Amino acid sequence: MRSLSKVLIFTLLAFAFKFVYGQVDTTKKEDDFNYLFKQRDKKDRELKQKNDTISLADFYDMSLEELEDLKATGVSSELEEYINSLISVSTQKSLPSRYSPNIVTLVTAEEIKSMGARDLTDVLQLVPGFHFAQDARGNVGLGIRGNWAAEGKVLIMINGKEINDHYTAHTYFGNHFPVDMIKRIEVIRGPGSSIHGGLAEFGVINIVTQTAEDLSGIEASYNSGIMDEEVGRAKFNFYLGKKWEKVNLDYWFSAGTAQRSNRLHYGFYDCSVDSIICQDTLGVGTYSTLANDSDLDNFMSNFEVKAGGFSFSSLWDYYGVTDVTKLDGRARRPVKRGYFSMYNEIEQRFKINRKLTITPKINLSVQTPVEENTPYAEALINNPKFADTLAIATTRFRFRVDANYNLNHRINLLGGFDFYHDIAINADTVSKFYAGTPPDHLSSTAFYGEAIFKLPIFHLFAGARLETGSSYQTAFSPRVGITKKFNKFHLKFLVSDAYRIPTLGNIYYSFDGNYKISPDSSYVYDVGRGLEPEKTLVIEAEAGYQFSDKTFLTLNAFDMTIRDPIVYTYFQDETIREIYGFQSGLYVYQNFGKSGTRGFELDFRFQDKWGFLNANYSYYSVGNKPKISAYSVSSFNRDPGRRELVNDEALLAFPQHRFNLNWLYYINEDFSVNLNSSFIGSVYGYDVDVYGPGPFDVDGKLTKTRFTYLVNFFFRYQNLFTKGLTAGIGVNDLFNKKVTYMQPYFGLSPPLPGPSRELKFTVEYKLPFKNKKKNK
Amino acid sequence: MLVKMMITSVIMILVFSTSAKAQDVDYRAQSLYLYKFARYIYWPENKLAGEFKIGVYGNSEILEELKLMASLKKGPDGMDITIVEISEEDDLSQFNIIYIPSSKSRQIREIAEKIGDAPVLIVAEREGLASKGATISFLVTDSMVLKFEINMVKMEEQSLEISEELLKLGYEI
Repeated sequence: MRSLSKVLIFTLLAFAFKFVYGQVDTTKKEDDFNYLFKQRDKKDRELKQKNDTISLADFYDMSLEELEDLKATGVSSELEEYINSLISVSTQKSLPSRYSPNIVTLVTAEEIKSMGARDLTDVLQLVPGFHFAQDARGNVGLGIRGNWAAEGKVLIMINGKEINDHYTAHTYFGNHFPVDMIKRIEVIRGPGSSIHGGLAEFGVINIVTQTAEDLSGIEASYNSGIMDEEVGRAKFNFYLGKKWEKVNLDYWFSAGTAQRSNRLHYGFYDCSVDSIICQDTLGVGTYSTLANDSDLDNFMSNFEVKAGGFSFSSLWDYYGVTDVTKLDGRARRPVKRGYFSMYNEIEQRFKINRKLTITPKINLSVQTPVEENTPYAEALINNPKFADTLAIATTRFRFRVDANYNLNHRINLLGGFDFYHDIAINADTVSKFYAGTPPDHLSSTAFYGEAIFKLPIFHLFAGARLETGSSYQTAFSPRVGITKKFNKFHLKFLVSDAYRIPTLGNIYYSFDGNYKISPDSSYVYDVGRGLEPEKTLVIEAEAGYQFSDKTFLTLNAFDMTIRDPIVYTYFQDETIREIYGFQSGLYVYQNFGKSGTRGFELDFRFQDKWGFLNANYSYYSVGNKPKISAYSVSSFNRDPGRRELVNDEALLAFPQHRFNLNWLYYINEDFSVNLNSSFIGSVYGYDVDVYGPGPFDVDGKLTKTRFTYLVNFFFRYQNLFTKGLTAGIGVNDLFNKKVTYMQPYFGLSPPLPGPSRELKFTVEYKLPFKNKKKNK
Repeated sequence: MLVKMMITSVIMILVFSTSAKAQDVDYRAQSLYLYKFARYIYWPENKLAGEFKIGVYGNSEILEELKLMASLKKGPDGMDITIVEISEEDDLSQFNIIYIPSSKSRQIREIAEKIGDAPVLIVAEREGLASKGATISFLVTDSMVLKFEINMVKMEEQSLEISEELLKLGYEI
């Protein structure tokens, strides 16, 4: 730590020198203080400034054409610009967040950059109701309002392109999504199925990256982090954007690696990765460090060209994660699993007339597994007979048409058609474990429509989506929403029945409760498949009040009832236990009974020229909602029927209480400090229970983490020594409280350590292209 | 230093959250529209004699903006523009334009009845009143742009005509 301290002190001294030097050299900076934030919406600002400075006589001589964009309010504050920002993720039509028929959060580039976010986890953990948890094999996914969402229940999009894994619909976090190119993130903290379909059941996250419209030039950045003496992460990002008269082109890529943690983690010896273990008596597993043994590798790039209403984009993503659960004979983790994905999209917007716009889109996506040191990795190359579904590549063809018809200024009609076809490659090589032919293709057809009535008394939204697939029952998602804004106050009342459709991988691993046992009891076979769409009725209400041009408060309450939840779980029953022992079972996807949560979220924002202070608190409870054994906080037992409920208010892995704080202070126009912190309530999960000295004296137990907090700070200096150069330094988890990810279902994975205290650095350089016209 | 700055910002929140105004209505923008109404809406010949009178029903911040406008600009045919705060006793038919502030919205039907078919353009500040007695009512779009709704049947009844260019900026109901 001594070397880290030296780096930290040296960097702070450099900032201090620049700060003092800057104060002496540029005395006019006090006058320019209003310049803060103004870079965000430069065009709007320039327009406003123009309106403010023209003479009154000129103002009244404004042409009728210029009246087309005449603002109804005076110069608005930074906060007002924020809360009136148009959000398109909620409907296909852009609406200010206070009118949109969802509970939404908008994260700006300024928030992301000023906190020195290492990846999207740092950003999203500050969103009310969001909390990260552990999936199988050491992956980390998102939970929303106490409910596990990573299993295809939260839709993740980059620039409107769906990027959830096609085969299982999972999306994982941790050095996955680069943050340096993000312009804003639009988050729906509730259902979005009626517009976005089967993966938007609990929420939607749309990441919007910068384009040539934002920066015609080059930008490069490097981020690094150190946990103790170990390298925590290193990432390089590059952006190129060029704007011509009729064509915009942009390209960015991000490449780097990180470590999940440098702490101890209990892994299980696995003879499929090291044959010596099969003959040995090393035991069940052991604790070993994750330092340099928990890789999170990522490469992501995006190419996009736009010309008028036409656009083509190609997004490439490789994400490889060390399987921290499997140990070899030296207690190291040699297995790495990942996917390389390529998402291509062609879009053409046709403006038929003043009222009607039609936008067809064609997508072609390919996802290929990339594995290291797994039996499947070998089999993929040498012997396909051993390949398993997890090594299956998928191809998706998608055709979507969106139509937007403005009947008049009060009524908008939106509608569309959405079709996709998935093909699984290598699916005929699966084992004989399951009954019947494994599914190697799946198609889905959906129709959606929504009417927006902008009535003088309120906005009314009514819409629905109907989706039918080749391997499951038809799913239907209606929604009705009323939003009302009067002066500084706004109200929303929203009801939606969302759904989550099964994917190819879900159906392959599905289980309808039927199986056979071979006559000599040596194996289980003909496991019956069957999985139906999961449905969730969500009732939400929000009230918001703008106390001043700087202060805004919203309070929302929600009630979620999940029917037939699709859960990846460990199945065991009396028969299996009697024949094969108490540690035997199947990992399967099953529809369970009913689950759900209810709760509320409070979001406070204060924004001024000196910076901002955002705070939010979220609470959920199971209360008297129905419960399922896989999610419930119960005693450890592989047999669901023998588990005893320990806490009937909370669910596994998710804290009932969470308070987040994000504070930014501009010391001068270039130098800022950000302090953000999360106060996290108790979390339940399962851990290993080493109950004896023998190598196999290991079982599981329910465990509970105590209240904890994370404090992160970051200093950022823009235009350091030269224009366009930005550098930052900060610390994550200042007090080394060490976040831990629990598993939100009964999946037999011990708690996964997150990063410990990490010193982080960023350096960024931005070079806009010169405008030739101006030079002439 | 961190603690000090944190305390400073919390104090600033407490101070400014009570004193600052939120999203003020831009009456200059509405005044601009009223001026354009005067120029691009056509009154019968007999209403264009003497001064071009704009009356504001009750007290409103728009009065000051309109007076500024009247000091700078002329009405149709070079007429002087006069701004008047209307009292209960005033004869409403003498005005070319009557502006109804939000605070007087409940009286819209009563005012419309008093005016009848007289060529007096009734402009209401509150959205939706063009269907309740006003000839024109302002509305604010989702993107905070000022627009107007216009009741063309009432326009015709009042013998008023609007130019096509101006009509494009509004919405017919």
